[in-house]
Amino acid sequence: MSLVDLFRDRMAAHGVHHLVSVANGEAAPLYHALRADERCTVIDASREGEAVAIGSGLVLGGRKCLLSMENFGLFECLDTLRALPLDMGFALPLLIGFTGRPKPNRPALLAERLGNIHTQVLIAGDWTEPVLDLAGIGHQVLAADGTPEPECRAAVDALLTAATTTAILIEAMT
Amino acid sequence: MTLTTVQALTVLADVRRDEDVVIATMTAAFRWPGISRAERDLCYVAPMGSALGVALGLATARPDLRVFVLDGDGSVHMNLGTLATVGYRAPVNLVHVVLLNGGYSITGGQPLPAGDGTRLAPFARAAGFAAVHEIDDAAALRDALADVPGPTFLAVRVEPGYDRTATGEQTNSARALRTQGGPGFHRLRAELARSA
Repeated sequence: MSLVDLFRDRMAAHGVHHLVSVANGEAAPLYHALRADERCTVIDASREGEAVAIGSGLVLGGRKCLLSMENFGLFECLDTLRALPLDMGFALPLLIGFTGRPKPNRPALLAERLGNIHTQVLIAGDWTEPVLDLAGIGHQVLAADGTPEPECRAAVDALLTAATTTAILIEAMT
Repeated sequence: MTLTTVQALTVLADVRRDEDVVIATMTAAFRWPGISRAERDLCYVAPMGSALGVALGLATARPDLRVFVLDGDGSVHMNLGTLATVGYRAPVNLVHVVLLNGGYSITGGQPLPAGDGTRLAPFARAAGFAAVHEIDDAAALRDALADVPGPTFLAVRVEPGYDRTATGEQTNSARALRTQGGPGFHRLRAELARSA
């Protein structure tokens, strides 16, 4: 099962029928699949902090939702995450595109995908997991080079049923 | 004569029904608990500009409820994109009440980055709000609060200034304690779940 189909399957199983999304290249296949899925309402937000606020309102109204953003946008919305789900104490599942993930041969891999601009994503890649750790947001990385399906399934189930705000970081999605 | 913040909020408290939800932020978050007479309130102060997004999520989740947002002009300037998002999604049950005092009262009266706030109403109109009113008196506010369907944008001119010495008293009342922040969120979520 593809990661997109896995997310759709587990979202339906857990009653998650809202996606709040900001531009997220890594999760674009899921975004388009959910837009075409009549079981799901997709809300496009102007920026990541707004997405967190909208998701918080959905939770306030008794709905379950998934938030989708890139790691660049994670930095943008930290204050909203702090004040709403973290300070107030409720779960807001995050699906975060992970550009620039630190790993062996990173510059060459990024250059192959991003060309000359790859140097502009290194700090974002370096900061992502430490920032989540600092915020107390538990997270799991689903790697582009093939996280096994049972592990992916367990991670998605954990994300969608957690009692606190947690995140899945993805490098790519098919 | 320009309304005071308390006068404006008192009009809303008179019009608001028990089943309506009010989300109040910044100056209104401090003053609303002392004025409201109903229970479905959530008051919080930060981050500025987020309350309208929370209200959009709630209005989407619960189209059977009328959702009021009590906001400040400074807050709205910090998240103008949400006006566009709300205008596009057009929740008919959402009323955005913006208190125009021309600046950031709580932090000492710094001016808005864009004049006195008079550009917000045209902005909301261009963003797609179904009803937009610029209001200077209580009678006009009372009429505008009845303007449905929304989304409705009410730019209410109020006197500038904020008495910081009253903050402790305002935020420590029994009603304030049960409507603010995390306790307020969880209490309101449970209350709304009972009526779902």
